[in-house]
Amino acid sequence: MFLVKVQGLKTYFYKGKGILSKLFGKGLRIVHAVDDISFTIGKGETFGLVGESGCGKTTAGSSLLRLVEPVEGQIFFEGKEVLKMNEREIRKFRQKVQIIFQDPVTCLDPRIIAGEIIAEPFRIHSSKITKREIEDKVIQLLEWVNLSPEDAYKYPHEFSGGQVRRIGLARALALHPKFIVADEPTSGLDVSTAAMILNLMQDLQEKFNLTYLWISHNLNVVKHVCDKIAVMYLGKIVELGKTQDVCGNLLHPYSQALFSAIPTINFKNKRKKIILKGEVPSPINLPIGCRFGSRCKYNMLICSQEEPDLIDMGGGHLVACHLLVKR
Amino acid sequence: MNKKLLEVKNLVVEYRLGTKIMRALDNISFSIKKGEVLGIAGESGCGKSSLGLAIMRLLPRAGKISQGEILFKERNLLRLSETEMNREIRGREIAMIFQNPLHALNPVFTIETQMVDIMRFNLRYQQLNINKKNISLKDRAIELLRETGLADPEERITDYPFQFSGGMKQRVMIAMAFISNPPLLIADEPTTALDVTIEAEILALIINLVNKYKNSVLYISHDLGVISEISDRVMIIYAGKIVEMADSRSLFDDPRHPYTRALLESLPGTKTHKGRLPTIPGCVPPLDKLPKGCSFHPRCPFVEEICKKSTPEFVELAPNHWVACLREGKLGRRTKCF
Amino acid sequence: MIQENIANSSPKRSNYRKKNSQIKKIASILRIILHDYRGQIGSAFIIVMVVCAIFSPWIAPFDPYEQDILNRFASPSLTHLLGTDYLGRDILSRIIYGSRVAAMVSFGSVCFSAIAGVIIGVMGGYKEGRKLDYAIILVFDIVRSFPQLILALALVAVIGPSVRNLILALAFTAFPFYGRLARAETLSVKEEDYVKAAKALGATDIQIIFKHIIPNTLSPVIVTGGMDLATMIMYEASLSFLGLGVRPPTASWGIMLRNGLTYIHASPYMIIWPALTIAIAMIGFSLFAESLRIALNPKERKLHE
Repeated sequence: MFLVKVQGLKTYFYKGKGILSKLFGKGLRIVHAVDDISFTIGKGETFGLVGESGCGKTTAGSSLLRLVEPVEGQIFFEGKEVLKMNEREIRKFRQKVQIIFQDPVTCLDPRIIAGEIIAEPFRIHSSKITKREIEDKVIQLLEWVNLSPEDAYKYPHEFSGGQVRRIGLARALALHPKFIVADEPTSGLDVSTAAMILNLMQDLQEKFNLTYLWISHNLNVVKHVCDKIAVMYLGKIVELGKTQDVCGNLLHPYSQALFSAIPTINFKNKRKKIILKGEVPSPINLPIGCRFGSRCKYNMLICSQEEPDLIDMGGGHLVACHLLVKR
Repeated sequence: MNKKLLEVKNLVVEYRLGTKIMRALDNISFSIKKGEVLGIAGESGCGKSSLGLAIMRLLPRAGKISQGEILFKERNLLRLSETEMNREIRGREIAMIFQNPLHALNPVFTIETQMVDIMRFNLRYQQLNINKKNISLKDRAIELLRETGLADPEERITDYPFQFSGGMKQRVMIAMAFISNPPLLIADEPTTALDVTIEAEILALIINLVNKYKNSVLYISHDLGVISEISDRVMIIYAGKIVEMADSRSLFDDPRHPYTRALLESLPGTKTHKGRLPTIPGCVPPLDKLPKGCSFHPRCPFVEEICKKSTPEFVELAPNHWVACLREGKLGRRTKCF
Repeated sequence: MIQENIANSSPKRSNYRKKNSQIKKIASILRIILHDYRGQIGSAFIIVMVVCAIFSPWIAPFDPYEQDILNRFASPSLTHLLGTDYLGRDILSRIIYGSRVAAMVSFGSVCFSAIAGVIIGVMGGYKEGRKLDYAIILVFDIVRSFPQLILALALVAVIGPSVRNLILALAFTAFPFYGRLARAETLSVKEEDYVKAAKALGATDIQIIFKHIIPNTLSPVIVTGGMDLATMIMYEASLSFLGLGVRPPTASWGIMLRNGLTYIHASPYMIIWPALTIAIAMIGFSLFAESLRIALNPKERKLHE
């Protein structure tokens, strides 16, 4: 039973569309932010999307909600094609799907008090609701995210980092969504605050049977909360599978490097770090063949000729690497 | 090797905001030996960044060092004039790298101009390189950049800051900090804005440079993982006070202060999958309304009556393992979970 | 469970209602203005002018239209504090009545141009890069390419001089400036995460524009409006001076200047007093606008809280 199914999703941005850049510039340049990704998320599952900045994980998340229009591909939500919905259907769809943004401060209007921010979804979607009902609901939402009702009339800048996250969470929960895209929900928080938010989000997931798409670069967090993990590199998924399978048996050279780089406080078995050479290639001029080829220590001839496909290594553990085909 | 390079004694830093007086650092004392990396960890707002700025005497106008001494090579930095600080200390004897390299580089000049400019006016650089007069400043800059692992520095040196990625900019910043091969490097969250793979590269780079040149480093970070990877000794700060200081190994393997212990336990990904993480109840108290007694007592799971009344002394529990907790002896060894 | 919640929270709810944050905010803005010497002087002038405009029949010592031919060109005295003009009318009363025209024209034209400018500008900014946006920019630029005063002059000449037409003409010449400002602000606010968040909640464009974009574009518009109040007083005086403002017997500072110029050899007071009034009014409004700019800066406000 899947809730969300993504097939061959591509989101490109176009640079240099204007007349001047056509005349003098390099012409139209395409940024391949998300380039052909497919995955499914089951009901009540937490699906982690990890990768470094610029790998397209945030774009993938906003494409799912059609905040950014994808170029190609299909997204199914509860069996319905999201990309074929019209304006009205999209508004309905957005009641069931919510997003928590990366920067908790900028996603709250600085001129509106917290109570009004949380009440906004009700005002948008139901005109019949009375003031009293809204107030009751706001107070209840605040309680769900462990804030006090007095916080309702504070402005966003009066809150601490963790509290601002809670307000964003309360607003997202207002319409009882089924699916939440959480974009870096704990970045920029202190350890103990981050732990509180993680606990809270897991509690809410249990309480409301939520499904999360968890976008993060913090691999420790992803390892802790996610049932499935997809590792992205330059717009593509290079490794995907259940958390235990992926973390226990990293197969793609990039995932190996990525996971080895996590700073740990474990003195007993300090992993040897794999330090990658060079920089991530630009998503405008993609390398031919494997996108990771230029930085990979196992680079072979075929890697610069053909792009590897995702292959099943057993139990739904998908990896895109030529090294594994050979074996 | 055992000589103290920097010694901070009873340092108190206060911020004045309107009528409020906030004690950002309260009675901080520590020292750094030559070639040692001291990690400073704590939650945001605990005063760890103020410490770096206080040593450089770069506190914002509202901040004041109201007590204490900062002895660097047995000279009290607080007695030096502003000109002396500029001419002899900042960027010469003590260099600093910041979290956001974008703001620390001037966007309108090339890397070459900025590096050569620093070299030209840096007396310490000129003294150090007195026998290398025949090497041009540009070549020396290229050499430094190569040492920090920047790919083809000959080409890149004429680029502007915006042409570099975050990781590369941080490399340039490190190269600039190492122009005068400073005995002490203060690094304030230099990898926080970077990805893990780049972070690993930068950490490896700092460790390499320190091993090679025997500089001392004051490494400030909120990330305990990073601190444990880079530091020889670690100091944990809570609400402006040092709560625990020990060798990296013994601090992370056997934390004695309840706060340190709680911090380590709340890290995800170390123990169980999907379980609830232990958290610290409440939040960091505002610096102008610190509780009486031990400032951690309202959040401490082991709190006793005495904690609410008297402030704990900083005592040496084990050799080189200092803790400021009234119940220090009774906390017992913890079962290791890492 | 839910019932329990409501029961528990009823005392808190009354609390939630009581604190009106909007009033709190306006109060803090006013507090900053009144703590600043520019704000004190500026708001004092504005209050005096508005009071004069509203209550002129009660404040003015004489009827501004009553002629006293025997007492022409009188110097300031205890009866006529500022003297009389070429028809023996009391200058002080005429200045007080003149503040009516000045206040109406300046507030009226600023309000009209700001409202029109914000609505059109926000529309253009929100639909950035579409045909509507290009059309709006074109209109703005055409209007802005004429000097403001000359354009207003031409418009009044066509539609005829009266207070209403003066307001319309001045508003028309000024609205593109507000439009440009609002459009530029919209472009940046539109990209903010909270606008995206509202979109993700399913808000329509209209809801987003009124709830998030317009409130966030207002503060620069208000500041420019404050500055423009002074400019509009000057424009009204200039147009009336040139004979294209309000019609003569009506008391207006511009008309008084014009008459004063004609009889400058007979009595200097006829030109000194209205000129001084215009200068003082403009300084007052400028000071007020300056302190408003400071008060609307959220950073300043935080310091004063």
